[in-house]
Amino acid sequence: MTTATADVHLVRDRATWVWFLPPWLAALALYAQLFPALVSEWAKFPSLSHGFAIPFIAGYLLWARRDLLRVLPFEPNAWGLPVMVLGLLGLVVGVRGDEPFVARISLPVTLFGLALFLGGWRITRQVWAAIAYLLFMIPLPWATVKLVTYRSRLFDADASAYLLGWLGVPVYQDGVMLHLANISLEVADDCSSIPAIAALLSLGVAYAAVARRPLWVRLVLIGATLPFAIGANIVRITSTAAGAYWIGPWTLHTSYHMFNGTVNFLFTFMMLMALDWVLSRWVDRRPA
Amino acid sequence: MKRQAVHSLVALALMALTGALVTVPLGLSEIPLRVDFESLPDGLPGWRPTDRSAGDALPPDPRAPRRVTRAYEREGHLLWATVEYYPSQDEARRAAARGLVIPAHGWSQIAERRVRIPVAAAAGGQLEVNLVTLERQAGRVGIVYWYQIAQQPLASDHWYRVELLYNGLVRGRTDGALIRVASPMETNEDSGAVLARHADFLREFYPLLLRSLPR
Repeated sequence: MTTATADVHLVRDRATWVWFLPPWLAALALYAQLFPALVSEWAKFPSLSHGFAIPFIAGYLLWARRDLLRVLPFEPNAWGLPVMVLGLLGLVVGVRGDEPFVARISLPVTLFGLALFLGGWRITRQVWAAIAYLLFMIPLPWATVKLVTYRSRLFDADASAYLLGWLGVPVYQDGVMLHLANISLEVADDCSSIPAIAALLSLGVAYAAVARRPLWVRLVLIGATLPFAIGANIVRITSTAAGAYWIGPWTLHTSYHMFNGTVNFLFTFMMLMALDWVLSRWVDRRPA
Repeated sequence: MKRQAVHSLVALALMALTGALVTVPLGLSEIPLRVDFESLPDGLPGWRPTDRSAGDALPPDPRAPRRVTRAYEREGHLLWATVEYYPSQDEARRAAARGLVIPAHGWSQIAERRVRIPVAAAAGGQLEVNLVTLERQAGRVGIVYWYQIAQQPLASDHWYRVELLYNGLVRGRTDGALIRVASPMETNEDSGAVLARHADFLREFYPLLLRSLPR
């Protein structure tokens, strides 16, 4: 076994890398033009700032599989070609048509195709998660975000008005407006859970990826991130409005309301950890 | 080894081809208006011109090269129409209704829905538009908006982008317009009443607009 591994190393060191690396470097050079604008968006919008961390987390996901990647043989597979062509076509359409989202979303597609075309299925099976994780660094089109954000605001306002009534706070809801006896509040764009969902989802996936849990537990954790993020935001809006009614409008200027992204992040992370704890205990107690 | 070399060379060739395709100039052309917006009449049948301003309910897009705003009045009801025209568009200069219609300056959006307005001049006799209701302390305003690529109206932000992409890549043109029509809502007036007012106006205004926009 040791000898076989050493042989694979020898072959790769001497020749295989010469053929394997140049297309990856070419892809990197091709897509480099997209990064200045992408990085600028990460820096400009706080809800996208998690983008800076995504390439590093994707890198970690690759690094965590380095032992397997060292010994698995490269078995070029022709099925990677149409995938790679699709990705590169996306880049051409996105750049020529001035649609950055199309160009950016083509990056993981091209990388997946390249991995399959040059490395084969066994290599691709080890790297697809890291490649797919790059999707989290790509901001959704602005028009989509605005549209979904508006729907989310309405939903958040509906749910919060219901909960406020249940808490005994008299409220009249008109669209995204919550009219209380002493103040009218708007569930604004920044109050919506949408801007933070990509960040929270990437958090959930990263948490599930590094947790040493059975696959189904990790899938449940990823699936739970979205409802947890939305639920955390509704709890925050409801408690903010209830605080403004019971204690006074000055509570709107407290850090609890002002740092809504951080509050949501903490709520969601705590709920994820709690769910993980419950599921882990259940798995441990289950008879083998 | 031979197979690896072949795959590597194919991948490199594809990357080189892609690099060439993204750098060769497309030659997009600017499409001018057929008839300048100045020709749009100040008054329309049933609608008198007025100098009352829409204020910040219809913020201008400073990136739009051509823009016209007209104010009208009928039976005490005000109505403003603004058209922004882009002879060619790119990421830095593109009609984006969601940044212009959706609230700022203290306005809150309380409702949005897509509606079809019977307008004989529109293809199929109906004009599909978005009706947005905004509110702030001074009152409510109903805004109708849609995009127009040449003679084709588009209510969806996403289809508009898809059409622009297609036009840019296939027809070599990315011209388009954003049309917004706003009218203040009376107390207790519902969105149906303001929509009826918009519909009456658009039956007169839309054929004139089509005359200005390119084919």
